[in-house]
Formats: sequence, structure tokens, C-alpha cells
Amino acid sequence: MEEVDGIIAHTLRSIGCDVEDEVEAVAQFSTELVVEGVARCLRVINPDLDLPYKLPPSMSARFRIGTSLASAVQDIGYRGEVGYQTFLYSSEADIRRVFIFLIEKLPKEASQGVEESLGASALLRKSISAELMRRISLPWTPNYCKRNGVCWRGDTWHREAYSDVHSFRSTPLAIPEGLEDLTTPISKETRCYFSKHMPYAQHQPKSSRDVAASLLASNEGQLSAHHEWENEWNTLGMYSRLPVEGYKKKKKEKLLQKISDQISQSVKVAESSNKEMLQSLSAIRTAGTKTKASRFTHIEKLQFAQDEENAVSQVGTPVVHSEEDTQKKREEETEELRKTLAQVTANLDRLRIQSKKFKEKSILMEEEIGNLEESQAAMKEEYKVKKKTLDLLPNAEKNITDMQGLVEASSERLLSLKAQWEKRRQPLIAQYEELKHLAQSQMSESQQQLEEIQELRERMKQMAADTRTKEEVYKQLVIEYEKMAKDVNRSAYTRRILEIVSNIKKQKLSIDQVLLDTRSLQKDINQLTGKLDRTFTVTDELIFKDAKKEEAVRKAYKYLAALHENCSMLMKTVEDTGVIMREIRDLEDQVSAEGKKKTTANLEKISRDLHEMKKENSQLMAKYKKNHNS
Amino acid sequence: MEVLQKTDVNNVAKVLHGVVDGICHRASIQYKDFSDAWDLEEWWCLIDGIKTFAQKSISEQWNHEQLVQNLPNLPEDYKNEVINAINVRRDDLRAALVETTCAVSHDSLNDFDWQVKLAMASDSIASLHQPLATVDFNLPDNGSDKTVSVELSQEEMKKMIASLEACNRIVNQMKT
Repeated sequence: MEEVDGIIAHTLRSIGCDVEDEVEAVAQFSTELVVEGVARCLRVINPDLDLPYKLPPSMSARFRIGTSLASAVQDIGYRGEVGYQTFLYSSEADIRRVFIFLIEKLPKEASQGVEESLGASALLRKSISAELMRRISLPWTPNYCKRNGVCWRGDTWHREAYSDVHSFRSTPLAIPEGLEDLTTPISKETRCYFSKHMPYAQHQPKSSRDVAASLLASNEGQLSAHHEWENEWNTLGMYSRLPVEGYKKKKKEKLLQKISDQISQSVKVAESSNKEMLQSLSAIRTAGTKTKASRFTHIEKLQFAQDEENAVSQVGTPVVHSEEDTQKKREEETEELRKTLAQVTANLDRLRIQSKKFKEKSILMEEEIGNLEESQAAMKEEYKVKKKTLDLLPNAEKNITDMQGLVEASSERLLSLKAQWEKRRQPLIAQYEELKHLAQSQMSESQQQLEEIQELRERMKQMAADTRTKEEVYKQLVIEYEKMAKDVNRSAYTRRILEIVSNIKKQKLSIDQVLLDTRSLQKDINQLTGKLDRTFTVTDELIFKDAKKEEAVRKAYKYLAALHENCSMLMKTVEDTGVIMREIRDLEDQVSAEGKKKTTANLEKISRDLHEMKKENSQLMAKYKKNHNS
Repeated sequence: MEVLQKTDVNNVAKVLHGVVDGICHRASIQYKDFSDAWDLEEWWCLIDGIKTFAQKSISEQWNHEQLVQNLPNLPEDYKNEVINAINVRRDDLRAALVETTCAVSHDSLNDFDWQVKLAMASDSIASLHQPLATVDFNLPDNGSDKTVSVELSQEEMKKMIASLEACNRIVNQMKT
């Protein structure tokens, strides 16, 4: 019972009743507390009900509240007996029963949570439109009245508009590099730069507003580069069977090659088109310049000629003759010189052509000489062979046999060499095959290992993801656990419930046993009564037969009948006493139950209340009379 | 470059690094820190000189002797400071120059920014609840920035992302 009372007290506290800490059992509840608790429970179950939490001083109002509470409890579905007396003159068991019923009827918190989460987006929309409505109804404030868009709106500070928002502009940031790897030392100058002159990251962007943007951008860049590299290495790099540096180098070379190819190609294309364009342009230009230039030069010439004439005329006439003579002379001389020059050049050309011809001829001759020399060498060879055969001719027989011997020996030698070669070849081929096989197996092994590595990497990633999700779940669960109410000791409750269940089982067992006992007793009784009946009838018949003959036996028969009757009477009285005893016990129980209900105290209270009521009534009557009289 | 002598040797590295930071699109050095050493005209000449010197030294890949040759009228310790600074920042400068070279053709993207808005209603529909995204593209335009803003609905946004992904695939194909 204590646990039940604890739960009731806790629940009443949670719905807002002012239950003092030392109040733990229902027996300690005062009438006011009972009324307040019941009224609050009813309010929570059905918010439409209009019930006061406090009892008024007037007696009749108190009774009215008591009856309305009782009817409300019955409306919810309480089956037990309930009336104003249940609350005003409380008995512990009744109150407990009512509270247990009410607390079971209280709405669960979980259902409230679900309802809230369902309407999250609708709630957001509602709050947005409410905020907009509020802002529309407010007067407009000029921009200079709000510093960084912050302004006071009646009750709180708000941030409005976009005056303090600026666009995302990032600057490439420099970070000291090569410091993590202590094995490769960095140069003194670089170290000096890093320690003395390199500005901090927050000073590197042009404006201090761009610090966050720059940091975000550089971080994002590094991250995506790392991801991309990881991806590439997993898909392509692993299969190239190269170390990381080798792979990177190869890729770089490949890329450079590609780029240079592209550039050279496009340059070629551009050149060809350029050429065409140039050609067409130059064609136009030559066409244009010819006409223009001729005209221009013509004008120039004219001008110059005029100038010269002017100059000549300005110089004066006296020296004209000699000047003209010398001019003439000079012209003649130049004419002559020109002629000789032309002759000389013609000669030179001729000579050049001749020398060219000679050169060609000499080349031809050299070729002929080479041919002749070759034929000479061939002829010399022929001559040698012929000479030898001629030498051999005199004793042909012997020479032929010698030759045959030689031929045979050489063929034998060839055979032996072949055999030797075969001998050598066999193991070499075998070795070659073996090595080939080995290489192949190594290849496949490495392939397998590669696949394994791939698989392991995948698994690693998966595991990492798993742990992450599990950690998140764990965190969530921890948060949920912390959110859960700690004051009600769940484990104690469950233990208690389990104990109760086991107790009930035990009791059921004992009840079964008792039932069995009673049944066997009933059986025995039945058997015995049957036996008694049978023996009685048998003896009855026997004695009745003899009773007709003898007087003594007749007497005995009479006695038997009386005995039987008396015995049955006795049995009946015994049964009656049993029933009465049971009734007595029931009544005793009832008496004790009634005694528990504080009847005397309640009676006193009731009589007091009755007295007060009477007083109130008489007062009211007096008032009424006064009013009536006046 | 000769006016460098007007300041202390210890300041040379600071000036050099500041100018190089400017070339790398970071916060450059400011005149107010050195107003006691140079007047404004000298300052501009100096900055321009250092800039061209640094850019030339990287683009023509000068070695140590060439660097020394191209700094004729400076005392030995000043020379050393300048050459050290250039050597240390070789990679940075190269990256910056390559970037500017890459950006010569048409428009290139510097940064982008986005905002998500929720249109609650329009002039004809009482409750619209349509999400809209504004994407700002920052494009370089003759040394200053030009911003191109685009407002996209959900479908348009998806389309744009799909086309960008297709571009990325092609770039990846080129790479491998």
C-alpha cells in the first residue's frame, strides 16, 4: 500500500497540487487536499470542467462541491460508490480507490509528444506568419536607429534586416607547410619567414569581415582535395601498383603530355589559319600598296626632283657648266663601270654554272669508280676460287675423298653440337617455364592482396561509419535517459510488482490446496453418509422382519429409529452452528472495517457540520424574516 | 629599387613580404607604416618596382646570379635580404601568377554565396510557401569584383547542380 500512496502523492505533485513532502500516505491527506487533488485530476482529464480547487467556508457550498465532484467522477466512469461524503468525510480505502481510478485516467505524456512533432512544419509556418503580422503592426524605424540591425521591440532585443550581412568573399590563406614532418628540415630563411613575417590567418584577408569566409573556403578546399585524392587512389591508384609518389609523378607527366599535345595541336591549327589569313591579307596589302605606293613614290620623286632643281637654281648659273661636265663624265664612267660589272657578273655566273657541272660530273665519276672497284673485288674472289680448283685438279681422286671426309666430319660435329645444344636447352626451357609460372602466381597473388586491401579499406570505412552512427545513437539515448524523470524509482516499482505477482502465485497455490482438501472431505462425508444409509436400511429391514415375531426386537427397532432421528438432528445442529460461526466472523470483519472508517470522528464532524448548518439556517431565517418585516 | 636603402635593413624583408602578399591577393602592406622612410611618390615607385622585379624573377626563372645582376645598385646586405625573401616565396608567387594566367580567358569564379528564402505569399496567392535560393557569383572584372546574382526555385537549383556535376565529371575525365 505504501508504494501506491507514494505514486499517488508524486502524481498529485506533478499535476500541481501543493502536497507537503512529509505527506506520504493517503491516511494523512486532509479534506482540503483530497478535494484539491480530485478537482485537479478532473481538470486535467477534462479541461472543460469548471471545478474550484479550494473549499469555501460556507457549509452548503461545501456540500454542493462535494456532490458535483462525485457526479463528475461518476461521469468519467467510476463504478464504485461515491458521494459527497466520500470527499468530505473521507475514509482511507474509498479515497485510495478513487485516486487510483483518476490517476489511471490521466492522459499520458507520450501521446502529447507525438501530437507536437506531427505539426512541426505547420507550427513553424504559424510562428513565421505571427512574427510577420507583429512586425507589420509595428512602426518603421529608420536604419540609423538600429546599430547592426538590433532594435528594441517592446519586450526584447531583436535583430532586423540585412544591414550587418555582407557577401562571402574568400582570400587564399597561407599556412606554414612542412612543419609536421620533423625528419625533413626546412631552410633557415623559410623558418625565419614563418616565425617573423608571415601574418596570422586573421590578418591575411583584405578585410577582417572575410576572415570566417576565408577560413571556411580554405578548409573546404583542403577537405575536398583530400576526399578526391582518396577516391582516386582507391579506384585507380591501387591498380597501378605504384607507390604514392610514383603514381603522382606518372600522373603529372601524363597530364603535362596531354596539355602540351593540346597546345601544340591548337597552335598548329591557329598557325594554318593564321597563314591563310596572312596570305589573304598580304595579297590585299600588296594589291593596295602597289597602286598607292606607286602614286606615293611618284609624288615623292616629283617633290625631290623639284627640290633638287630648286637647289640647283639656288646655287647659281656660273658653275653650271663645269658641274654639268663633271656630271656627264661621272655618268659616262658609271655607265662604263656598270657595263664591266655586268660583264664580270655574267662571267661569274657562267663560271659558277660550269663549276656546278664539273662537280656533278666528278660525283658521277666517283660513283663509277666505286662500281668498278666493287666488280674488281668480286672478280678477284672468283679468280681465287678458280685458281684453287685448278690447283686441286691434278690429283682429283684424293682431294675428293679428303673433301668428303671433311664434309662428314663437319656434319658430325654439327650433330654433336646440336645434341649438346639440346642438352643445354632442356633445363633452360624448364627453368624459363618455372619462372614464368612463378611470375604468374605472384601476379595473381598480388592481385588477390590488392583486392583484400580494397576490401579491408571498405570495411574500415564501414566500421568507422558504424561507430559514428552508434555513438550518435548512444548520445541520443543518454540525452533521453537524462530527460527521463528520475524521482520515481522504476526498479523499485518493478521489483515490488514482481514480488506481488509471486505472492499471488503462492496464494493461488495454497487456495488450490485448500480446495482440494475440502473436496476430499466432501467426498469422505458423502461416502460415510452413503454407508450409513445403506447399513441403516439393511439393519432396518432385518430388525423389521424380526419385530413381527418378538416384542424385544420391536423395542429395539423403535430405539433404532429414534437413534437415527436423533443423530440426523445432531448433524443438522452441527451444520447450523458452522453457518452461524461463519456469519459471526463476517460480522466481526464488518465491525472492524467500520471501526477503521473513523466513524466516530466522522460522526462528530457530521454532527458539528449539522450544528453549523442549523446555525446558518437559523441565521438565514432571521435575515429572511428581517427582510420580510422591513 | 634603390630607394630601399632609405629604410633599415631589418625592414626590407617586411616590405618585400608585404608586396608579395599583395600579389597573392592577400592584404598588402600599407603606406602609413612606412611614411617616415619614403614620400608617397617614392613609395609608389618602390612598390611597382618590387612588383615587377618579383613577377619577372618568377616568370623568367632567374637563378641566384641573375637575381644579383638585376639588383645592381644595392649594398650587399640589402641584396641578400631581397633575394632571400624572393626565394622563400617562390612557390607562393608561382601559384599566384599561374592563377592569374588561368583567369585570362572569359569569366572565372572567385567565390559564391547563397541565401535561402521562404516566400510566404505572393500578390495573387495567399499562402505560397515556396523556398527560393539566391546565388551570388563573384567574378573578377579588371582587378575589381563583379557580382552576378541569380534567384532560383527548387527545380532550377537542381538543374544547376546537375549541370555542375556533369562539368566536374568531364574535368575528372581530363585528369585521368
